[in-house]
Amino acid sequence: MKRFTPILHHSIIIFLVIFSNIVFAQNDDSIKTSNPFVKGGAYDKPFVTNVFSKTAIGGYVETVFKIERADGITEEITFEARRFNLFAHSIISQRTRFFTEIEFEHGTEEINIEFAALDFDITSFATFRGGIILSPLGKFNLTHDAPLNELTDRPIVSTEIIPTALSEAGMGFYGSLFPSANSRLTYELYAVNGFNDGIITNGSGTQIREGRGDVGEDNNQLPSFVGRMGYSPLENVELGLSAHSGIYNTFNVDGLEIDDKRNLTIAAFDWEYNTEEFDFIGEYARSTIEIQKSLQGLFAERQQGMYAQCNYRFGKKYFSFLPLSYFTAVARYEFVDFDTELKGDALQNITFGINFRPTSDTVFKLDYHYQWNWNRVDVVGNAAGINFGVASYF
Amino acid sequence: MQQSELYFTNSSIILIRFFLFFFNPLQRVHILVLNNYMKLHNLIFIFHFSLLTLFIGCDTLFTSKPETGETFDQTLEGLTRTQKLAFARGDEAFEKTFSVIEGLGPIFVQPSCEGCHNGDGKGHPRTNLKRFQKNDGSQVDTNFTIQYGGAQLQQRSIPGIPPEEIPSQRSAISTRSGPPVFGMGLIEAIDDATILANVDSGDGISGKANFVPAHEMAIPPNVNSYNGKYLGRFGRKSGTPFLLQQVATAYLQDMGITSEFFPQELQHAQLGTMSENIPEPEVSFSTLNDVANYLRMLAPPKRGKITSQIKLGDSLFTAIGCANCHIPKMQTGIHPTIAALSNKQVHLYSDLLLHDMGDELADNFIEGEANGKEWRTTPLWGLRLYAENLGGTAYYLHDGRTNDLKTAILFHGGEAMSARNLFNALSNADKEAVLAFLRSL
Repeated sequence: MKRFTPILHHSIIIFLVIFSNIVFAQNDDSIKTSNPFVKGGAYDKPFVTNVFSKTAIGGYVETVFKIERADGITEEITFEARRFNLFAHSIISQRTRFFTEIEFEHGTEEINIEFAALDFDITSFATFRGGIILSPLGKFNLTHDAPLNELTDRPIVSTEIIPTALSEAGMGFYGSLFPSANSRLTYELYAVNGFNDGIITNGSGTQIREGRGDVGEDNNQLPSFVGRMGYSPLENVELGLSAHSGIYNTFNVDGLEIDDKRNLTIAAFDWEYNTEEFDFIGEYARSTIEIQKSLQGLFAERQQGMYAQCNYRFGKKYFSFLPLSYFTAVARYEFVDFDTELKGDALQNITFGINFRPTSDTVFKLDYHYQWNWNRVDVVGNAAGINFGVASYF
Repeated sequence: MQQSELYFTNSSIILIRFFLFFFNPLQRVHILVLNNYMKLHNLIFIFHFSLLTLFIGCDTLFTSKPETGETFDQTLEGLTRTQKLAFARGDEAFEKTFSVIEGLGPIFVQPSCEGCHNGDGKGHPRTNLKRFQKNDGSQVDTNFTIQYGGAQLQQRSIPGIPPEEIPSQRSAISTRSGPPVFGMGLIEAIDDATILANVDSGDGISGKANFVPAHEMAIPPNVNSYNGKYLGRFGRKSGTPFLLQQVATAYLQDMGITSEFFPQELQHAQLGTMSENIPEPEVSFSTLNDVANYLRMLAPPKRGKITSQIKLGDSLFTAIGCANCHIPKMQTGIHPTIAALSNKQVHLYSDLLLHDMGDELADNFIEGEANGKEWRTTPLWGLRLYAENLGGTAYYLHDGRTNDLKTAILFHGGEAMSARNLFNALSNADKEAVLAFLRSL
């Protein structure tokens, strides 16, 4: 793959900025739509919309039973209480809304405010959003709720290259416009605190996930920018292009320059095509991380990965006493290269699953995966496992 | 109607309502379940069939263990449960990759043990380390070594700190790959007398022992001392006498991790003493001990399949004199704590002594009593798995300079010159037999 040049990174950001300006210039009387801004995203959660007063609450829960083997050795046979998330949604006034999501991971091992943002509708196609936002980097980060996803494990590219759930403190705008009766363009653009030195200092090698930024204070007084454009030529198709770029390291302390500025850029392309029976979804992401010379060759400067998934729904009303029930067969292929300069340090995974949903909000998932892991000297190891999970909105 | 009757009637009505409320829906569900019985039955059958298929294909679908003796990371046979637990703890510590916030650096070579000893085997040349010194050919300028923060270059550094550079005044640079770490317990368990018996056997092969100082915390009880020094047996030039010392030194010199052995951070060659603001020591004594025990209990791989060609190669290997230094087997003594190491025949193909290897392999680096041309005879066990363990390329010799076994032999000079010449004089078929033998070890 060709390297992403800084010019391309900046072009993406500039394009997003220009695009957002075009949107602001649109007429207020654009085509209205009943579609949510992000299907399954904030404000499109079940059980938080039927409000009797200003505020409603809801959430989801996920528990998994895992059997995992690596190179013939059983690594795990365990139950995992993965997540318990609470949503709260408040309509403050006709143009002002607030949504929040609080996540409890592994009981109370990790408690995070994943989303807490105030939205103010400026026009029908431009809404201001400020707070702790879910960064619009790839589609999966915006729609990662366990009951929505057909497999128990998240795509690896969407956890390692795009560190889902990526929440950041920031402000910006989002909105939709409708070039034709059937098509829609959506955009989101925010200035955020961005990533921090943890990418290099907190993990083994370059780990973007370890550098998810602080919501309290930017480590380097330079905001990063994140944005996504989604284009739907038809109601059941969406193509998304997104990017996150900014300086991640601490380069000055008390006004003293202690290091060079180093940039992290993540670019992603996502796609989705839905029919009544099928979904074809996927995401490709690539990251470029500037690192100091003394770590080059040891820490990755470029990473990339993708996943492609097919869902097939069948057996609707198979049980007459569960008229809303259906099954889903799922297949996913994924690949992540943790260091594109190196032969090795990569991973490939295939997953097959079958799910049963008594209603669309509750899912019983059974899946099997097989993984190939290449270490940094290109020696391959294998891992495989079965997951049985249950997840539901409430 | 009396109050009690009224109460009874009301209660009955409530009970009947309660019963109807619950029973009717249950009855409905029951009928529905009966109607769906075949569907459920089919699903349960498919579920069980799937599970059965998965279990039958367990090894294929759920990965399989490598065969015993086919990797470098397997345990010795005959360990107790306590020893296996210690092995597991050490394995975890050996695989751990240190992050900056855990104490990595501030200057270092690799962030983990595995970084230099891939899969417990040899290191990739990409992870080679460099040592430098100033010497006059026989004496090391120790002031130079102290001034530049020790003999090992730490070419990596954490953010905000530049890496070390080799000073231009040095007279020697030694580049080395991490050696395999299996079988180290067996090497440790060989009595000094067994090794020293091969010193200068009068056949033109000098076989020199390297007597070196030891860190006082690493010296085991009842060990032989030679004028305050100890028999070196670990490292490319036998520069370290004890496994625990080897581990503690590697934690500091390779990863910049301080311990009770070495509680101070490394001195930077250009910038002096630096710190990453993590409290010292960064690992406990027990962690070092766990890793040392892990290495003690790692078994060497078993021999490959032995064919008639390999048998011929074995006899030629001895006949041309290779086996004078690469001694096929030695006997361990009594190990004080691990019975599985005691009284074992060790097929390591080394005498664990220093030999002059000639100019082509010389690094001009003096280490203890080893001069710039001397190297410890590298054990040849596990040679057949080198390439498999390094992504398909074997990287032979102390710095991994060649992937070709024949070329590696032809690099041998000095005391090995005679054996090299005899190898060269063999017919092609005999050469192939020797190579096939080496690839079976």
